[in-house]
Amino acid sequence: MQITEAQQDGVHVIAPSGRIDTTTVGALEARLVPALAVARPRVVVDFSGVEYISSAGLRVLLVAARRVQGTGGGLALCGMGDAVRQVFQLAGFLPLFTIRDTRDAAVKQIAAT
Amino acid sequence: MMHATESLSVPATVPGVRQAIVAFERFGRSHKVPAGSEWRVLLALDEILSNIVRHTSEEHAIDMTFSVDGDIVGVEIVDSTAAFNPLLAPPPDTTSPLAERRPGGLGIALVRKLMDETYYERRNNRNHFVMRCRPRADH
Repeated sequence: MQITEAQQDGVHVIAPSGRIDTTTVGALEARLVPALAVARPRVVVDFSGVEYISSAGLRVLLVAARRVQGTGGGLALCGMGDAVRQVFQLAGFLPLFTIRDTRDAAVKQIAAT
Repeated sequence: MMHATESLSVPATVPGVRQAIVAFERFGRSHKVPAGSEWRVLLALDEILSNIVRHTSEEHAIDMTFSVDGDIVGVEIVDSTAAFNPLLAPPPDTTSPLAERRPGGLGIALVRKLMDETYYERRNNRNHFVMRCRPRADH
C-alpha cells in the first residue's frame, strides 16, 4: 500500500492506495494517529485509490472517528469505489461517517468545521 | 470450462497472511478470476487467516487450496489450532451509534455476506473452512 498526504485549505488529506487489510493497515494507522493528535484535527481520507477494505481497516477508522468526536474538528471520507462502499454498507458503517463523492467536496465540508 | 487448483502452506503469522494474499492474486490473474470475485475472496482470506493468526500463540502452519471451477472460485483453509467454528460467532453490532459501536465479529460477518457458500468442519484435529463465490451482478 502506498499513502500520499497533502494539506488542502487547512485540511490534512490522507490518500492510501491498494488494499487496506491486516497486512497494510498499520501503515494507514501510522499516518492517521499523528494527523488526529492535534488540538482540532481536520482530516479527509481519500479512498479513490483503494481496492477494498477489510475489517482491520474498519476498526482503525472507527477509532479515528471516535477520536475526532468532541474536538471541534472533523473527519470525512471520500472517493469510495463500489467495493469499499459495499463493505461500509454491509458493516453498517455508512451512518457513522461524513462521506462525500469527491476530495474537494470532503475538504470543503471539513474546512468549514 | 476451466478447472484449476493450487495448494500452498503459509506460517500462521501476518507475513504468512501477506504470502497467501499475494499467492491468490497471482492465481486469480493466471486463471482470469473476475475482478468482482477477486476482491471478495482476497478480503475473505484476510479475515479468516488473520482470525487464525490472532488466536494462535504457537507455531502453526495454515494449508490452503485455491480452486476455480468455471466461474466459481473456492478456497479451503486448514489449520491445526484449537477447534473454532467462525460460523458460530455472534452477529456483529451494525446499528449502535459511534460511541457505543463494537467492531467485534465484523470480519466473519463480511465473509458470510461476500461469499456465496461457507462451511466449517473439525476433522482429524484440524479446522477445515471452505468458502466459494460466484460472480455477482452488483460486483
